[in-house]
This record gives sequence, C-alpha cells and structure tokens, in this order.
Amino acid sequence: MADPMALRTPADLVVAGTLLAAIAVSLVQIWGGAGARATHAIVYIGDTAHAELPLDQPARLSVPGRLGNSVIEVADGAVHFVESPCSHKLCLRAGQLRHAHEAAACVPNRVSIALRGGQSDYDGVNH
Amino acid sequence: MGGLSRQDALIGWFTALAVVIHVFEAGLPSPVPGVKPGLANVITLIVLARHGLEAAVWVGALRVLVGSLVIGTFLTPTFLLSASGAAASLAVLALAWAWNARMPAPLRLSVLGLGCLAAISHMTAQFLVAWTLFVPHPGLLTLLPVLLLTAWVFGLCTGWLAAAILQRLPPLAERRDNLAA
Repeated sequence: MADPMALRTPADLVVAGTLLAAIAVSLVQIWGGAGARATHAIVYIGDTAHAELPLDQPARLSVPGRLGNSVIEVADGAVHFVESPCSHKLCLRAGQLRHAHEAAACVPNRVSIALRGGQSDYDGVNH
Repeated sequence: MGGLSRQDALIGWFTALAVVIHVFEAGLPSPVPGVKPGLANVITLIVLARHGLEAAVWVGALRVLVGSLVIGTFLTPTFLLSASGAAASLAVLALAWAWNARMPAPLRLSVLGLGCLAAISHMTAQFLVAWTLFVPHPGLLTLLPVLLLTAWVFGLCTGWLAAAILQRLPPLAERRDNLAA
C-alpha cells in the first residue's frame, strides 16, 4: 500500500506536468481558430454579388456604390474597407474580417462584404 | 446503533464534514459556470489516504447525494453534472490507487498528484455531460481549456491542502488503540 503521508513524489510531477501539457495542447487546438477562418469574401452592391475575393490572395478592389467608390483590401487572410465616400465611416471601423459569417457594410454607399467558407461561429445570420 | 461498524461511523463523520464544505462552497459566487475550488474533495483525499479506497468512494458519493438534498438540486441538471464529475473522479482515483499498490515508492502518487487527477477528471466528465446533454454547441469548446486550467490549479491546491492536513493529523494506529481502549 502507498504511504499516504508521502509528499510530492516524482510521479506527482510527471502527472501534473503531463496534464498541464495536455491542457496547453487543447488551448492551442481550440483557440487556434483554424476551423472558424473564412475562405473567401463576397462583395455586394445592394442585393447583387459584385465580386468574390479569396482571402489567401492579397487584392485591392474599388467598388462603385451609390455615392462613389468604396475601396476594399484583402491582406494577411483578412478583408477590410480602406476608403469610403460615406460620412460616418462605420464600414472602416468594422475593421479586419477573417472569420466565417462576419460582415461589414457601408449602408449609405450600398456596399457590403460577407465572409463565407469554413466553419461558422454562428448558428445563423439574418440580414 | 449496534449494527454500525467503526467503518460506518467514520464514513458518516467524514461525509458530514464534506457536506458542510460542499454546501458552503455552493454559496460562493463563481465567475464562470462550472468553476469552483472543489474543497470538499480535500476530505475525499484525506479519507483515501488514511482509510483506503472503499471509504473514500462512500464519502465521495454520499457527499454529492446528501449535498444535493441539502442545497435542493437533487435530480436537477446541476446534480447530474456534479454526480458525473464525482463518478469520474472516484473512478480515476480508484485506478490511481490500484497503480499505487503495484508500483515502487517513487512511481506512486501522493495526494498532490491524486488531487490534480481527480479535479481534471471531474471537470472533463462534467464538461462532456454538459456538452452532450445540455449545450451541444461547438462554442462551448472554447471554454474547455479555461475550465481545465482552473481544475488543474484547484486540483493541486486541494491536493496540497490535503497533504498539509494529513501531516498534522495523529498517526492512525495510535488513534485506533485509544478508541479501542
């Protein structure tokens, strides 16, 4: 029978270390977010799809909207509005989009971006 | 009371102690659902080290049952989570106990390692039940590393506490003589 009073055996360290390593692996696996990455972005003018941009290729696109040209850029696997003729610039503040089912829109200019592909973080998205 | 063995009385006392801690802990606010220190497990570890596996399983199982009756969560989802966690951690403790009985001293686990193992298995079982029965959404997985890490830390804390208390308790044989006399 084991000595119940024994404190900190080598086996304790091995078990605690192994468990911590397993937790670290689960952290990287689950929080790495590989499954949540979108593969491409669809650019809409009003209701119609204007262009489809793969996120793995850097690109810069000028989209003619109602007020003028919205400039959209793809870099480092993310897409974002760079320039917009609108007054509030909320579309610029939407920032970098990289996850499936994320979206940014310039409502005054009627230009929007929706991300597709990969596993979505959301159950459903309603527009 | 004539039918009560010494073992029964021991289990009763330790269970009562564990239930008090369990109920006290249920009243503590928790930042994340499922996170609590698991201090009642200190009692399970002490009983395991001093009185063996059978007594520890009794105390662990009775604590969850009586604790739920006192708090009023008996047969609720909370109880199901708590019971599955306790069942898993007792099963792992039983395996570790069998391992300890067969291994030379340096390969044996002390209550420190046992506490860590018990906490992680408790959390894992609880998480699996929560995920399969209550919230079958991949989003819940995001919480898993955080839950496991807190379980790891609290597991080592309860193990350390159990070890500290075990060192201060009188040796077992001495007490048994006193009681027998």
